[in-house]
Amino acid sequence: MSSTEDYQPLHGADHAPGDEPVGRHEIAEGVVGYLIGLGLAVLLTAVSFFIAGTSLVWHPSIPIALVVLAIAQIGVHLVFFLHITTGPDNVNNILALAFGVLIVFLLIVGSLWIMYNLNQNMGPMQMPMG
Amino acid sequence: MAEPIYKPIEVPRNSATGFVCAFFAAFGGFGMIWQIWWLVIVALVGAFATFVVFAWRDRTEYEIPADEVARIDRANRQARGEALVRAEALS
Amino acid sequence: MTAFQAGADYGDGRREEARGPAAIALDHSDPVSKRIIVGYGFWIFLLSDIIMFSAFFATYAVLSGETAGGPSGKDLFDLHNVAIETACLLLSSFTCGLAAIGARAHNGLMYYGGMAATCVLGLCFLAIEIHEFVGMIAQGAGPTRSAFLSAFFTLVGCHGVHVTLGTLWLLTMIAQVFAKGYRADILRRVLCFALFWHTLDIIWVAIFTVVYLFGAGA
Repeated sequence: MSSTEDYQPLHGADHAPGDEPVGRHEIAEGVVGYLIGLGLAVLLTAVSFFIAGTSLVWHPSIPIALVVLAIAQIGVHLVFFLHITTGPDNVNNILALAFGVLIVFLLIVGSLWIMYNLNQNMGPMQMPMG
Repeated sequence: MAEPIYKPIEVPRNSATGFVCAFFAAFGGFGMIWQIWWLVIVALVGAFATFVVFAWRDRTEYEIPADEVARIDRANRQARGEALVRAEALS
Repeated sequence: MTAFQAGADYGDGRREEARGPAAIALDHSDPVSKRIIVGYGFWIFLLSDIIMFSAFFATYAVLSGETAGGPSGKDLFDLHNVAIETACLLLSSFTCGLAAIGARAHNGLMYYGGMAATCVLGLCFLAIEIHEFVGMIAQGAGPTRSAFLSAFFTLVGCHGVHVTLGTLWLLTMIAQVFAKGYRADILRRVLCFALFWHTLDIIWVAIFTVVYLFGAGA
């Protein structure tokens, strides 16, 4: 989905009927983007594993910290690897992503909420009926 | 309204990949439920083979030439014009 | 891919820019490339795949405490294996990105090298995961032991199946570029594969956080 790349030198055969050779610096730019993404992702992963295994963090906050770090890492993946950026040709992709996130949120939060309520309100039967 | 300049339209060719792979998937699922392992293997291999066969096609598109686009659109415009005239006559 | 240009032919030699609301509809002076459209379409499919995974995540979240007297995550999960699996998948995402750059630059070394590295790392991930599953089944903690384990094997197993099929697709893409060269539609398929592979890594981030780190840590 690298939309802005389509109009910059590093474009494939979609725009050029002939095969245009691509300069070294465009390849380097692309690689640097992926390297930054990799670095950030490794950092976030290392922090996640550290927090999960350490006693330095207040225990009840560990799950939330892990979720926040996971969301941050997903964001890093989306921007650096999937190129879901705020470029002009990316509007459709971002809208689709927003819709997907909405459905995922409804599914997961809805399931957890409903099951929690069921667990609370439908305990084991105390007395046989009839 | 003035007629625009017509250009040819590129259209992807039809492909039976989806239908055939779904056929294999259905049989594969049936085999997995009833633990008919040879059927599962045949289905997986068949689905992948279909995928590869269709991936190796060289002609993936056909083109509607500009004259054809022009012909169809002119027929559309004419029909629309006649309908407009009829609607105005009624009102 | 539109038949209309941003101009009108009056048939008498005059040409005029279309005006008014029609101008907005007809002004396709810079048409969106097929690559962007294909990327958008495949992204919609990937979102539907993510929604399917979120259903499995919801199931796992609801059932994660139902161990039926059997082993729980704390007893079963080895975080060292998970760390190695995560490293494998993360690096494979990076090498996949390199391969994508190589494809668009028509650079054989980057493309084939990147794809080969991605394949090796993906297979390492699968090997470790299968080893873990086999070990768990051997100690009686298979998918039929408890609801927690059923949900675990379904979620993580589904991801593993996706990685397996992705690896098959990877090998097919290597063969395609080898056979047909860097044709435009082949490059669009490489784009789709790269999107798929990166999405698998995103799902793995969610899995190792919610399943392994929650289970073994907290």
